[in-house]
Amino acid sequence: MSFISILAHGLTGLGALVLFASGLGVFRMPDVFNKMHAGTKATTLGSVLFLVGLGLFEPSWMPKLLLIVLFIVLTNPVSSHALARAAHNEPSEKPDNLIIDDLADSKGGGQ
Amino acid sequence: MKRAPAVISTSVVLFGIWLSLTLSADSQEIALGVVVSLITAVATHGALTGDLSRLLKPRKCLATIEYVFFFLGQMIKANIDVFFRIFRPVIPIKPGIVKAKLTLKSERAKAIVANSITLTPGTITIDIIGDEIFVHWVFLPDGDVHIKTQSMVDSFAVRLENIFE
Repeated sequence: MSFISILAHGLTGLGALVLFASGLGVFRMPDVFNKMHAGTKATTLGSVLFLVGLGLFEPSWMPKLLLIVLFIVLTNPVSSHALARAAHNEPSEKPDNLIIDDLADSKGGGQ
Repeated sequence: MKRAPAVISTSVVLFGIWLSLTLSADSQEIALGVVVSLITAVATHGALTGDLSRLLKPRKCLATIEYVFFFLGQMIKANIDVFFRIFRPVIPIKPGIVKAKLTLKSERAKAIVANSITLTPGTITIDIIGDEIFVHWVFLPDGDVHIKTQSMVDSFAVRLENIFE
């Protein structure tokens, strides 16, 4: 087994583990914003590790996989902003465990 | 032709995407790629990337590379943080939404700051209103949360200022 092959196995395995942690986080976290933490950060790095590991198995796929990686890194946070913003605008989704909420204060002051 | 640098930057980026998707050195494919990326860049007025030519200056280039590595380090730290939080029997959370000031002018820089904060330890961006950014913490830092949040936002903003201004 060459070094590259070991690295590729390691990266795909680690990526799968991070993706699993992300899924578990979405399941375990108590409210919508904290679920978003697990669902954004861990899925991004998980997909990046998995795709780079895959690229090491098949070097000819690497450029396309790197494009996918770039696309995921650029778009994953944007979708998370859209969801978080929508959740904050929807009163029934609002968690009651927030210790401080400047956004609600500044919205309330604006009206 | 005020838009020429932006159009050229966009077409160079588009041509790079074309090359990595086709993966062929065939002269016809490359010629078609040049034509298509130029047409697309002219049609979108270079909206995809803006003017990238100033990144060619050595100082800006170094600042960009430094930012990328800083960001990657933060992203790995964020994942270790999420990882160890999730596997605890009781998840330690102390959530709160805190606002901070953004001094950056460019809309692109603001978007990059917001995206970077989302992928770094313990924080996601909820909203940007004017020059104020609202950050959700999964575990509020000790001490004055506004000062801590401001210094976290500034650690990105200062680096981006070096690139954009």
